[in-house]
Amino acid sequence: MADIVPDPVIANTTVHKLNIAKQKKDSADQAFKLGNAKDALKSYHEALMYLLGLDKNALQSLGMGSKSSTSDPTEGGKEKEKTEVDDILEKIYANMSACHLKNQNWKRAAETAGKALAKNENNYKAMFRKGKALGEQGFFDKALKVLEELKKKNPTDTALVDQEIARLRAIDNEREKAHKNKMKGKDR
Amino acid sequence: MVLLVTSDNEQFNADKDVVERSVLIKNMLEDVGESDQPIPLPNVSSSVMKKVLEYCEHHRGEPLPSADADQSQDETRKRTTDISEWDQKFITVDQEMLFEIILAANYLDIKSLLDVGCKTVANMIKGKTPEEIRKLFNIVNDFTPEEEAQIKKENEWAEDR
Repeated sequence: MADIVPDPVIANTTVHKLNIAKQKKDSADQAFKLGNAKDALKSYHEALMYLLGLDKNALQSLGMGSKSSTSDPTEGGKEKEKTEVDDILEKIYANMSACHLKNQNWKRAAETAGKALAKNENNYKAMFRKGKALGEQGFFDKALKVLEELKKKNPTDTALVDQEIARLRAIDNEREKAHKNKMKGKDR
Repeated sequence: MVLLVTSDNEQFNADKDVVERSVLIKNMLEDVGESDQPIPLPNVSSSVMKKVLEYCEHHRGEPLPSADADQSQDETRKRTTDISEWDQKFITVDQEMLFEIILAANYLDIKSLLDVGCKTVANMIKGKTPEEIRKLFNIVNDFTPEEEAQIKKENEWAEDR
């Protein structure tokens, strides 16, 4: 980087790592668009290796962290500060979840969607993916809870979400039937 | 064997069941399989990675806490400040290395190592006065005398040990 920044060593390496991570994410996005979920996952994972564990203090001194609105330490500590890194992480996890759904790896799909939601609980795509992945794993009640919440938060997608709920319910009913045939007399 | 490369460009070759103590690496290997390309770990240095791998080597094969570990298990894990003899010896390092290990354990997502590191710091703090703790960690006292007196008053009940 040609720019001279106040704390050159830390700043340069941090900016450098951030840039590599962005490149990895871009090539991952590209691979996913071309239908190659495995290559996409590889690049997303590599991006994570660069982004996680980045020095939060260095990011802040570079002005990449949103400053907490108050200087009161008890308030400021609780408030979650969101940096540019958090932003990218949210997108990476949400996209990884899409890759896992494509590979029908429901468990990891739910996990990664959950990680995206930990960064931003209003990531509607991640909510949808989490709900779908939970339902596919056989946790219909949990899936229903997530998807109902999604409808509340984002009513525009109600039709789509209802469709998914109906689909998962059908899968669940099938499972239930098969289960009942196997073990008769067990309640639930 | 899995190839890793640290921030200072040093390569490490380690068994899969050793590196899989790191949930970060484990997830990657599970998702994309092994390859002869090294896994970049740009946020750990080789000196710290050596220590971390020593830990992982010793604890290989032990069960990992599951992602959705049940609460009670998590609680007991957090409550105790006991550290096994081997871990105790392993974590007897200077303060800078201790903090580097904690950062690396957090980055690599190695819960048990993070516990050992944090418990060690907790044990360092235990039983010390605020002034002793400040000295230990090089913390500047930024309280005014009034604030200090107020806090002392509020915490009088905790004084008797």
